[in-house]
Amino acid sequence: MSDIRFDNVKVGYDGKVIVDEVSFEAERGCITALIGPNGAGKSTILKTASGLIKPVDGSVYIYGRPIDEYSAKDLYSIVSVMMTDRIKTKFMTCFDVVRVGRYRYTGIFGGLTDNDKRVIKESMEMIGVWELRDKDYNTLSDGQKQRVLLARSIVSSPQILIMDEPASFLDMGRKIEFFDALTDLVKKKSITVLISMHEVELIKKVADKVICIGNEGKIDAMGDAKELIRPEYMERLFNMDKGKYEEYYG
Amino acid sequence: MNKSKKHTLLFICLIFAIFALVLINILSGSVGIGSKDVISILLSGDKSSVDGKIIFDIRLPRIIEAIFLGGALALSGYLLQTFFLNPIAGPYILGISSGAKLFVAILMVFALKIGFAMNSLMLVIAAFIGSLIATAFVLIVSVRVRSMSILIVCGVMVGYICSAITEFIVTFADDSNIVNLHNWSLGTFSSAGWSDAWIYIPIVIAGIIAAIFMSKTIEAYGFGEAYAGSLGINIYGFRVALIIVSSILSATVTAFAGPVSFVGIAMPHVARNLFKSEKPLVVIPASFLLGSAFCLLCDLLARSMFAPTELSISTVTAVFGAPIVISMMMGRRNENV
Repeated sequence: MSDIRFDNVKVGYDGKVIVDEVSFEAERGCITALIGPNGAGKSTILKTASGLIKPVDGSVYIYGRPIDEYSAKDLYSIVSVMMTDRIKTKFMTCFDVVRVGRYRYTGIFGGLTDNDKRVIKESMEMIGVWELRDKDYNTLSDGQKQRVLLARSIVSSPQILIMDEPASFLDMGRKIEFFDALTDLVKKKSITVLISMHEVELIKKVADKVICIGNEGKIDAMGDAKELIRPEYMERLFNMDKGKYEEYYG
Repeated sequence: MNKSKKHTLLFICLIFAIFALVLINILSGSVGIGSKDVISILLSGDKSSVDGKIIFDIRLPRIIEAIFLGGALALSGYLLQTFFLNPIAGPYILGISSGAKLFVAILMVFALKIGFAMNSLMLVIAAFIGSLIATAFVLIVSVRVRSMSILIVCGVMVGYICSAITEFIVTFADDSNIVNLHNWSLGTFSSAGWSDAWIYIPIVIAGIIAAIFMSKTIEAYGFGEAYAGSLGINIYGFRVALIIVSSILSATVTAFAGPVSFVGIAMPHVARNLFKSEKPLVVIPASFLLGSAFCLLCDLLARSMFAPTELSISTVTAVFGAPIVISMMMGRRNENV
């Protein structure tokens, strides 16, 4: 049984379909990546998968159970979401930022038990940001910030992690660091990751499975990352001139 | 020194400052009462002498009012800022206080006209309805425009419209009691007595308790609506709760003290910067205490600077509060206010 399953879903907002006939599965311990041109509907699919918006038609299943049968509490004890919005804080340490991710477990006033503190420490160590715990979040570099947010999204001990272009504004070095931390995490914790990403050059290294969303509001292709990511195909998906992809990415 | 020790020290300083301001407020006034007399009157609780009456029936209620209503305003502003995810928000600047003022004025005038005896609770309810209507307007605008600056301009306009109608009602109402209404509509802590205190104190305390129980969610919501939703928070319910608690608090202030400017918007900002913290469990009590201290100070100045003439409280709060708000906006000039 797959962890996330879309069964012929129409995704979109307010009854308007953005991507039609979405059917795919995301399995345990795998990174499933959504790629495609801007505006193709990757974020909409991710929001639907995380229950933040309802599908226009069709059903999304989490562990074989329709997503709308879950209470918010139950759903988000399994699923953790990392969306693109950057957070605005003024006086928060990295520890504070990660701590909020523990929301579901903490007491009525947000107090931490020893177990909460241990999980926060473990999560931050796993992503390599424990040393930053007392630093003001605002003073961090973009790369550090994204890794702190990754730590925040796993501090609730999720089984499924849904991420929307988490590395898009990082430079190449920080992108590699970020995805290293992510692949390492998936290996260690065997969690299911559904991610959208722009970094076509890194997809083969990061993702196990790729789902390509075309410009026509449909899934164009899906399959093993290593087989699918070929120059001719990428040129067609992203509407590039022939030879351009190879010229850039080799 | 670690953060929590620093916070404790700051809280002690704040409480001490409030205590000092209370003393100065009791001692100063148009009738000079010596400090020894004040202490003996306070200790004996003797209300029979003229001095006793001045202290127990005039100065103390006014001090209590400044403490509770000043704090309530700051807290109301903090909740609104949480709602809009933006520190440039407050019940006065968004026109919410003026909506409350308008409804209270209408109730007062019509109650006087038909000879209907109204009580303080009815004033609070009228103010609350006015607040909600003004808030509803602001919310409708906020759905259409994403810019906080435009929203504030709309709020200020709503404020002007409501004030204009209030002035109109006050001008053409012919009862002698209207004099009081006029003073109240400019904002003053002098109008309420003990009987009112028994109404507003429980409401304000309930508001503080509600805010404290919301503190954990307030913190998570600070990371944005989508993120809070992904933690399983009922966003709609939470936003409704924020608006209702904030409106009840600002409506209570307006019902008893009239519209008081800039406390709601400026004090949470001062609290965050003074405590260097965004933790709601710190900012909520800090904003409240700062609101109390600020209003005690401003009220002291309002009644003593040009004694025996009294300034309206908003005149003084604006002099100190507006520059704080301007500096906040300047500090955020590179972001979307």
